[in-house]
Amino acid sequence: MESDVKLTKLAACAGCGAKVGAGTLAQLLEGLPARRDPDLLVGFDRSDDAAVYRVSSGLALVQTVDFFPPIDDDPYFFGQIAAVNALSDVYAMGGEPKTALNLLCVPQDLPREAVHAILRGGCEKVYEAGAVLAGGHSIFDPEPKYGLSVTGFVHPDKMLTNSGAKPGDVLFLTKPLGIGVLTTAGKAGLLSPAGLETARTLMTTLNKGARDVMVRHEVHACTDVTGFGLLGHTLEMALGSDTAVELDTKGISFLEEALELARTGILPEGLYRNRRFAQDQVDAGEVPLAVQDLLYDPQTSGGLLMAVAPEAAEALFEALKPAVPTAQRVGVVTRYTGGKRIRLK
Amino acid sequence: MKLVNAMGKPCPMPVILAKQALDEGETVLTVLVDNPIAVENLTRLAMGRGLSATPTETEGGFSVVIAGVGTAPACSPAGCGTAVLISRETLGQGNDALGRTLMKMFLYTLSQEEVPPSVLLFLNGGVLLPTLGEEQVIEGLTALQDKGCEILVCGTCLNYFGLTEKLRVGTVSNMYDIVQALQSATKLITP
Repeated sequence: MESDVKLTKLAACAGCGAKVGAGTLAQLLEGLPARRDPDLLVGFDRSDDAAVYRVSSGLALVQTVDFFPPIDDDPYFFGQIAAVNALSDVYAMGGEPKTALNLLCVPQDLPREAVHAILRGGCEKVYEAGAVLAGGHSIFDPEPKYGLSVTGFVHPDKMLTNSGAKPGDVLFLTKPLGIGVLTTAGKAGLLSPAGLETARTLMTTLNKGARDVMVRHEVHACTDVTGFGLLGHTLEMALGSDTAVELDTKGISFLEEALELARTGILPEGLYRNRRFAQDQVDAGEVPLAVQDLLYDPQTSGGLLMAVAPEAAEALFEALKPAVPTAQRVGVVTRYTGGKRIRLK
Repeated sequence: MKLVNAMGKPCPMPVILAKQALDEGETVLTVLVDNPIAVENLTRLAMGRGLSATPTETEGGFSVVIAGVGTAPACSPAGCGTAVLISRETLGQGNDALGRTLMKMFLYTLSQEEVPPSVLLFLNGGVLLPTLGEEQVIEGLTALQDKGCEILVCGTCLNYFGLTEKLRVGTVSNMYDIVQALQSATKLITP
């Protein structure tokens, strides 16, 4: 602990739980004039992780911004988590982060050391990603918030959107689920020290390792699993790709403590928002409620969800295992023949 | 029957307060909350423990009763469930032998109900039932008690009949408690 300030006490929502729901967001964006530019390869009309703009035939910029209220009481970890989460959007497009700008909102009376620790945490993760911190902007705000705007590079033909999945693709997820439930419990002082450690380790792990393996294999689509939960992001992928998805819940790893907390009803509000958004398209079968809940759990700094060509799946998984030990095979993409887009088994 | 007022408390505080009350040994709990998320979380808390959660909308929020599945409902702002006042050992008038059989059937049927009454009150000749009643009567009353139904037996009446030592099921009670139970009931049945 670098200061006595309990950062999460200053926030109404925790981390990605603060995100505006997908349904609400779509309403907010509806009717906004969309200017056509052939070089804007991915814009806001695509429900994707980051915007992609083609600079030349060999280079496109990947741009993203992500920030949220404290998810961790320790300012240094909060800074790290916010940065890892923001950088993740670039990785999810198959890109390589190059520059980052800080966005900082802090109460006037937040101790200087705490503010400094947030920025130091963020900065370290930007450098770990191989990018540079190029500047930023800060304002006073009673509720602290931190995040970054990150710009990365990608070859325009190699970028990965969430809408390129094809029937037959194998789905991989690179982090276990339940981070949102753990951080909610943490805010209420109900998280075990081991649980806190697990959540921190996951949230401060860059998706760089997963991305570096991914770009060497035939991957058709990718997104990072964050505020909308696995089912929300899977649904976006299925809708964007006009496919259906079958998730094998037995292959998905769930954080044990999160499952226990889910059975106790310690669930973040964002989880119910995600459920409302996606549940009409989900055939949950016989899957137990606590498991379903974690499938809707908003993840802060979650893993990458990749749709991999079936013939490349095994090689990718073998390469992924040493780089990202938490990677799991979670399901398959199927042809959409009407009805619900996602089937759980 | 504890009341937990979690109005105005952000998630997940309501579920934490309810959990604390259950951990302290409360078996029946009413939680007042002001948002539907808290209702969902409380439902999961109850299900996780094999209990039931019954929400009702109230002014400005919800009242959620957490109780064992099939047990007597807890007190809500509207009252404390059904009270049954039994002041004779027979049911109805006409023939006493028939009346005794009917009472036996009545108590047995009552014990099979999914939601039992919250309290049974025995007065005057009614106290013959939880003392000298047939085995089937005692079994029915015991089943009701196990489901959370309170059984109060008038102490003065037991004394009068010399049956105080013979009480097999229920609690020896006084007129004060009996009046309280009648006053707070949402419904009264006098067979």
